[in-house]
Amino acid sequence: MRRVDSLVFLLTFLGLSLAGGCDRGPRDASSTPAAKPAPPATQLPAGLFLDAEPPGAMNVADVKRDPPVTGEVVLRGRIGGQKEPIVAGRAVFMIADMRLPVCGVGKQACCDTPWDYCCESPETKLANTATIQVVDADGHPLKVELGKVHGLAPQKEVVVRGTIARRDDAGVLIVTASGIWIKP
Amino acid sequence: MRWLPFEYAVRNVGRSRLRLLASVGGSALVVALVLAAGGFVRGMERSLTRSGDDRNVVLLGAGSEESTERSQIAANIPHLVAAAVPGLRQRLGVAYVSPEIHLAMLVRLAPDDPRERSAVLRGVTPAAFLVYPQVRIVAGRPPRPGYYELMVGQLAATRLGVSADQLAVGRSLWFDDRAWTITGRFEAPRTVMDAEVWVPLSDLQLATRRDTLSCVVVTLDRAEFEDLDVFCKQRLDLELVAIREADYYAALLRFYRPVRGLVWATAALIALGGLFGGLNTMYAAFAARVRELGALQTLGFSRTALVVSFLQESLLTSAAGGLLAAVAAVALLDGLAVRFSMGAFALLIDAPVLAGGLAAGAALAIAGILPPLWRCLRLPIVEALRVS
Repeated sequence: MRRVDSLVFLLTFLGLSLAGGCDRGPRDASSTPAAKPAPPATQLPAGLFLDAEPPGAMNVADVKRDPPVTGEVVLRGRIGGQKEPIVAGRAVFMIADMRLPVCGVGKQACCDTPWDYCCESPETKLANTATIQVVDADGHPLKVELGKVHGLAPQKEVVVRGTIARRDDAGVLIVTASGIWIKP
Repeated sequence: MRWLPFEYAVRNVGRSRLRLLASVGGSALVVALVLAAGGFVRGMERSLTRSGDDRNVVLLGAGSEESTERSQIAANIPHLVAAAVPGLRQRLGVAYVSPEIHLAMLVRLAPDDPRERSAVLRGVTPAAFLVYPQVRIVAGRPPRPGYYELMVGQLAATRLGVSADQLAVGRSLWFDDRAWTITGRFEAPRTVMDAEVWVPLSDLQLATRRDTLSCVVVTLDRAEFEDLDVFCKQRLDLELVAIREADYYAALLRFYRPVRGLVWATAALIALGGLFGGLNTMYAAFAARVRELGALQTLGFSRTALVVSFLQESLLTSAAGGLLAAVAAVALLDGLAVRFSMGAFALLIDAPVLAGGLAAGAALAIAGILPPLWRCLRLPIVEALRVS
């Protein structure tokens, strides 16, 4: 009898072990190896480019100095700040405060790219420029050539609606855009 | 149509040995000049294009894209970049991120040396050997930080205008009021680094009393150039721009376009001088062969056949001179180091340069013979036969 009990116990143990090991059901996320991050989406979100100017636009320098508490912001600016203010192959670009005239307007001319504001001091440029990005669900900038879309180009005036992704006392201001209006 | 046999042109070439020597010598000189100019331009182009790696990206100060020597960036940027930009190349946990200082500095060979020489110094860390795989140490060892040591490139002696043994391992260079021992020699063929002096970064920062860097060079792996560009445009407080290393040196090559144009213009002017001098000689030479041309026409050879035969003579002479020049150029000019503002480079006499030089010689041979030949062939046959 004892031998039968031991045999039943052993068979039951083996059976349960095999049943657990043979489970071919879908694995849960915790047991899979770390998945590679999905590559950024390459399509812009629908409705990103607006037909009408959003109301309540603020200047770049003002937002840098005194950002809205809610984090939601509507920003007016001129595309510029570096020789190539629009990143090729990514939905990221720089804008400068509209009140900061480009080089050559009443001040030293600046070669072929007046929108890089090389005639201004680094401190002035930092206080008057911001970064605009369009990101995917993971927060990565989209792999889209914004410069070829809807006429986005240096010195174009834009109004951007979005949320502040980062702002610090060092002078960084990054806005994640949900809507972009380009002045015709 | 009847053609003159090729042997006719060959025999005529050797008719006057003195004239043959003069023609071959003149052709050799012109071709050698063209080869030298071509070797100079090709060497400069090769040096600047091979200095840029497609997988390397240079981060430097905004507004200083044209020269790393003018750029100043914060010393913590290498760490920020390595932490913020995933996908940079790594080996055994070491990121291919090279912080550097680039500057030109006056050095002496001895403390009492009256002459100061301009050297191109690069302050580096061991990461530089990761981002620049073309750099190889060929003698000695890398310099150690804190010991006032440095190592020199293969063409550094040319850059400084001294002999190679004056920069041998164990010798010293003097700057910042102290001796810096040469512990090694490296090579980076056909790149601007070949003429540089590499110093430990921390030592160069102390010597120049600066806590900033000139640039940071990184090598891409899974990351793309756009990722670094985004980093620079998001961190506006760092005042950085990203530029592909290949694009940086391509821009420098464009900067030196006027120099290359000047070299070609000089070669062209001297070649033209040789052409006009040759024309003068040819006019005199053909004046003595007018009756010969008339006689050949009476024998039934057309003007076209005569032109072809005399072109064969001229091209034979030019080819002989061109070959001599090509041999001399390959033997004496290829690899010859030349100083320029960025350092030094070696002349490059390769197949395209040789082809160009020989083609220039042939073109000058054709251009130099056609006018006097045409002048002689214009005469009616009867008048040509009467010429004494």
